Amino acid sequence: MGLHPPKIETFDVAAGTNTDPKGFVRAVDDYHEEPFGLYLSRAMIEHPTLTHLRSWLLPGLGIRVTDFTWKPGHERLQDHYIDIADVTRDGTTWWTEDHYVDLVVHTGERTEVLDLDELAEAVAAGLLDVERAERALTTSHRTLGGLAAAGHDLDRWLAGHDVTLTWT
Amino acid sequence: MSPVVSRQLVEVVDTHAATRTLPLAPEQVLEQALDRWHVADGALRTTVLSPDDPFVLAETCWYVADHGLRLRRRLPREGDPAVATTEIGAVRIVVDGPQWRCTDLLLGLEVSPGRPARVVHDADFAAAVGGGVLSAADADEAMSTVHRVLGELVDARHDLDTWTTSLGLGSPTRS
Repeated sequence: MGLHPPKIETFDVAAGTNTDPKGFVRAVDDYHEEPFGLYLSRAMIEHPTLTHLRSWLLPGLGIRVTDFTWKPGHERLQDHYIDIADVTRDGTTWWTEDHYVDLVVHTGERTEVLDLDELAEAVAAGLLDVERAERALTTSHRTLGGLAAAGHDLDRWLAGHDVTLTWT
Repeated sequence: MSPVVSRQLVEVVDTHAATRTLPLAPEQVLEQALDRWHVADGALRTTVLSPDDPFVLAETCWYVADHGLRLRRRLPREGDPAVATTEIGAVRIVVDGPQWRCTDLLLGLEVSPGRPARVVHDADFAAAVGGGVLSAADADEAMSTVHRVLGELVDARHDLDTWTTSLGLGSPTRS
């Protein structure tokens, strides 16, 4: 992916919509709020390889956890996708600002770290300021270390933070 | 106050001259005599005694070219040397005959016995990338190295000797 500013998404719980980084407004099937975060589920219309996403926004941990549903023939062997992101809210509206680095959890096996090059290029180009870059690094290290220590088991790591995710 | 990193740090170890040259300030370097050095399995190990330092007896470094790592331990003059913290730095090492040229990529980890490894220098690193001191390619390399080592250390239950053994090195803490 080419060099780009941090992607911002809007999650309007009252309106039941999710505005993606390109400004497209998508209908959300389900929003569900917990003290530790926000759950959403929505179809991925016209996506080439995905049909559905289910995500948890977890502001205290600085991450978004997603479980994708793939179109037949495009399945990937991954259990959870983690975006390193600032998560903020004002009333019933939530926002994420994606900070480039992603982690892919293969439960019980390993955790991959993706797109470090994008983070580096964005900081070097002045698209992400130093403060956010430092936060992204710290969050990615903490998350990776925590997952590894929990045997690459997301639920186990989150349980240590009093977070229990449900996906329905 | 925001961190300021103004330049990349390059140290040169010359095994022929038995010296290590460290940058101190612009246009200023410190040349130290190596008290011991040894090359084996793609790694250079050096020891520099510090008789004038009231707290540190010696500094031992391992330069591991293939893994892009520098391990540094400062052994205390008093107390148990086994509890010394080990700094693991992401570096780029170019070996040219007797010269090992080590460029600091400004991100690293600290390992202390009985404690989880932790990544250090995030703020300086981010400032260096943002300030153009470190290129995006170098930054990517540094982050990849540190993330890889962090995962390996967790797999090794944060035991430094277990980790270095997995790299084919000896024990930094027992020798």
